[in-house]
Amino acid sequence: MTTPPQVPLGLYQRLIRLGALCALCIYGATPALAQTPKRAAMLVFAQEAPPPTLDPYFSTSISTRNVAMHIFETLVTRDETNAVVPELADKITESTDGLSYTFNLRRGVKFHNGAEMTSADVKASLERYKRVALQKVILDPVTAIDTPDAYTVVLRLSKRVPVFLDELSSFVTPLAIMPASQRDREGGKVDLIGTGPLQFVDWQADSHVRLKRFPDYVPDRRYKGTDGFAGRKEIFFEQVDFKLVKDPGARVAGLEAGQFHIIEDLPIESAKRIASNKAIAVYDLKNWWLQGAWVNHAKAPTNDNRVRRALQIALDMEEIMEIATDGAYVLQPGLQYPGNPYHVTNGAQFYNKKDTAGARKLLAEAGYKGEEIVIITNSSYQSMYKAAQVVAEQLKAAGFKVRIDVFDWATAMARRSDGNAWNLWFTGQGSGPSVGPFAALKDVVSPQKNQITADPVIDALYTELITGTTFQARKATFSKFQERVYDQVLFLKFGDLTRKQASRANVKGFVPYRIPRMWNVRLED
Amino acid sequence: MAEFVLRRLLSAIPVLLLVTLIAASIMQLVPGDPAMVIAGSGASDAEVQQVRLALGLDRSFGVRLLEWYGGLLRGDLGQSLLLNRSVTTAIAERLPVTLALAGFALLLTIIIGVPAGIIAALKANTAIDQAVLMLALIGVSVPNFWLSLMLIVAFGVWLEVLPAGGYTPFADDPLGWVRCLILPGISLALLQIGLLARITRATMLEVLRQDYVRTARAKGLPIRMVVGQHALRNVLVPVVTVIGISFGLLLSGSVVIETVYSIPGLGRLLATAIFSRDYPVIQGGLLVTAAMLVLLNLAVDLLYAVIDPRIKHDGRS
Repeated sequence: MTTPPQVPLGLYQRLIRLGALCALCIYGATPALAQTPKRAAMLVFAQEAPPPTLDPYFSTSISTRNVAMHIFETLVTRDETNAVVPELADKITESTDGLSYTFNLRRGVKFHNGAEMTSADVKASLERYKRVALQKVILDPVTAIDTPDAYTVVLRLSKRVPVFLDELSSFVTPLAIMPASQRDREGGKVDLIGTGPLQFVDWQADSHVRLKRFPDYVPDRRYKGTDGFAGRKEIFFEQVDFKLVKDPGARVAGLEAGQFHIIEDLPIESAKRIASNKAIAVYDLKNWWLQGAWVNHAKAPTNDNRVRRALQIALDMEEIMEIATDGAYVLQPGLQYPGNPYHVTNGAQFYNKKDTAGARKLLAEAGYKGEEIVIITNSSYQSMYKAAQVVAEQLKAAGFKVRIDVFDWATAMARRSDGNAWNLWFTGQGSGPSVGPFAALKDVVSPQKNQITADPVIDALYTELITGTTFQARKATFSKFQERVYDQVLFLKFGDLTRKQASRANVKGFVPYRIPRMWNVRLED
Repeated sequence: MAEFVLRRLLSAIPVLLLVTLIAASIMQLVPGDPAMVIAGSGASDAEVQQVRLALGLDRSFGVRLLEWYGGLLRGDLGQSLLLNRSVTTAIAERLPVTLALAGFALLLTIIIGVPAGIIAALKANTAIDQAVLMLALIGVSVPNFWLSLMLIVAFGVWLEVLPAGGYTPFADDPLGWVRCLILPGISLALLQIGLLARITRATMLEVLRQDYVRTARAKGLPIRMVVGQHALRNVLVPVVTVIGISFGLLLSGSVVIETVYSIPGLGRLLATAIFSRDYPVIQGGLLVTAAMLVLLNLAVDLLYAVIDPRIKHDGRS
C-alpha cells in the first residue's frame, strides 16, 4: 500500500489551523484566567494619626492596630459579630476542669521570612507577650506553655478563667504570633515579620507605612470572605500605602482628587458636602466609641453622690451628642451596643433625664455652695472638646459653677491620674466596649479606678463577671455592674458615636470595621 | 575674613547649647511624656508606667540630659522614642524636604517681591503702586492654612492640575518634585512676598531721592540704567537683610504648610515631636534649626561685604 502524498498546506490553511489552535488554547485557559485575580499596583489609605510603634504588643493605639493587623495574625481573634474564632489555631480544646487549653496549629502557614510557623514560634510569642506586652496580665494565670509537637501548643493555667479565650482574642494589644527569634526583643523593638497577608516594606514615621502583598500567604479557607479580624483574606494589590494625613480637609481633598482610595474619619460636614459626589462612597461605622466623661469621686464637690446625681440628671444627652458629633450618634444607655449579647439597659432611669429642676433640688440637699466643677478636655479630639462645651453650659443652667481646662491629648492624659486636677475628664471609650463586657469599663475597677477612689462593690462585681461560668451568670452580673456604674455615677455616658469613612466609588469590597481592612478590596475599572 | 567667620562660628556654640538646654527644660515642665502617646489612649496608668520603664524615662532629667550632651560630643543626637530611627537619620531624611520647600518659596519671594517693590517705587502714587500695595497687604493678611486649603480645592480637586498634597523626591521624578512644591511654595511665600515688596518699595523710594540718582537722571540715562547700575546696589543691603530673615522664617514657619500638604519635612517632624513629647527629636531638631539660622545670618553678613565694598569683616570695620 502506498502512502498518499502529503499535500503541502497553503498559507491560508496554515493560518486557519493556527487560529483554531489559539482559540483552543484560550478556551482551555479561560477557567485558569478567570481564577487569577486581577491585581492593581497600589491601594492608598489615608489615616489621621501616625502609629507610635508597629509592635502590636506595645501600644493600644488605633493607628498601630490599623497597620499591624495586616502584618500579623493571632491564634484566636474576633469575627464580625465579635465572637471568638480561630485564626492561626486550627482547633482549640479546653480541658474539662478549665485549667488547660490545647491549640492545634494550622499547617503550612509561612512567616514573611519564608519559615513555617510552628509551636516554637507560638511559645516564644507567648513568652514575649508575658514579658513586654501592655496587657500581659491576660497571661498571668498561665503557668506553663508546652509544645508536645511542632503543631501543638498547650497552655496550663493556675486557675480557671472562663473568659480566657475572650481575653486571648482581645484586639486591644493583640497577641500577634512572631518568629521565635523575636522572643527576647524589648517592647517596640521587634522585627516586623508576621504571617499576615501584607508584609512590611518601609516606614517613614510622619509620612507613610508601606506594605506589600505577601505572595506565599495562604488564605484561611474555613471562611467565605471578610469576617471581623479573621476571614479569608485575599489581597488584590501589589502594594498598600498607609499615608499619614493629619489634616481632615487635606484627607478629603486627597480623596476627591483621587490621590487616596480610602480615608479614615471623614468629618461630618464634609460627608454632607460630598454626599452628592458620585465618585465617592461614604460609610457609617456605628458604635465607634462611647462618648462620655469620667467622674472624680475624690475631689469635692463630686465626692458627694448627691452632687454626682444632680450632674447626671441635669444633662440633655441629645443636645450634647448632636453638637459633639454633628448628628452622627445613637442615644442608648447601655455600656454594650444593641445587638451585642450583653446589651442591657440597667441604669436607664438616670440616663438623659434633662431634669434641671431635679438637679437643683439635689444640689440644695447636698448643701452645694458653688464649688467649682473642673472639666478637663482636649483639643485633639473634636467630639470630646465640643461635648465639654455643651456639658459646661448645661451644668451652669442647672446651678453649677464650672471651669473648663483644655489641653493637648498628652497633657490631658497626664492630668487624668491627678485626683486634685479635675471633676470631669472627657473621653471616648472605643476598644473596651467593642472587645466585650469584660473590657467595657474595666477602668473603673482597681487598680486603675479612673474615678480615683476605689469602689469595692464594682471591684467585686468585676471579679464575679470574669469568673462567671455561664453566659447567663455573666450577663446577670454585667447588669449589676452597669447598674452600679449609673447608681454611683462612676462614668457619665452621653451616647454612641458613629464614625464616617469614605472611599472612591470604584473601591469594592471595603467594609468599615475597627481597623480599615485592606483584604478582599478591589478597584473596579 | 576667615578670622571673622571662625569667630562667629565659635560664638554660636554656646548659643546652640543654650537653645537645647532651654528646650529640654521647657519640655520637662510640660505635663505628659511619650510613654502616654506610645501606650495609647486605652492604656491604664500601670501600662503607661511599663512603657515609661522600658524607654528609660523613669531616670532623672539631669541624667538623661547629660547622656544626650555626651552623645552630642560624639555627633550622636540620640534615638527617637517614637520614630524607630536615630534622630540624625530622621532629620537627614526631612531636612532636604524643608530646604527644598523653603528654597522654592524663597525663589518665588525674590522673583516676585523685589521686582514688585521696584515697580511700585518707580510708579509711586499711581494705580500700579496702589495695586502692588494692596496685593502686598493681602499677602500679609491672608492666613496661610486657609490659603493652602483653597489652593488644594481649586487646583487639586476642581482643576486636577496639581497634586493635592504629598511629596515626590527629586530623584524619583524631577517634574513631580516641582509639581508637588508649587502649591505649598505659593502658600508659604505669599506672606514674605508681601513683606519684601513693601520693604523694597520703601528702600527704593529712599534711594531714588538721593542726589546721585537725581544726577544720573539729569544726565539723561535710561531708567533701567539708573535703577540697575546706580540705585539697585544700594537697595540690596537692607533687602538682603530682609531676605535672610525671610528665609529663616520660611524654614521655621513651614510647620503649618507641611501639615496641611502632608509634606514630610523638618517643621512637621518637630511639631509632631512636641505633641508626642519625643524629647530627643525636639532637642536635635531645634539644635539643627538654630544652627541653620546661625549659618544663615553668617551668610547674610558675608553677602554684605560682596554687595557693599565699604563693609569689611576683617576686624577693622
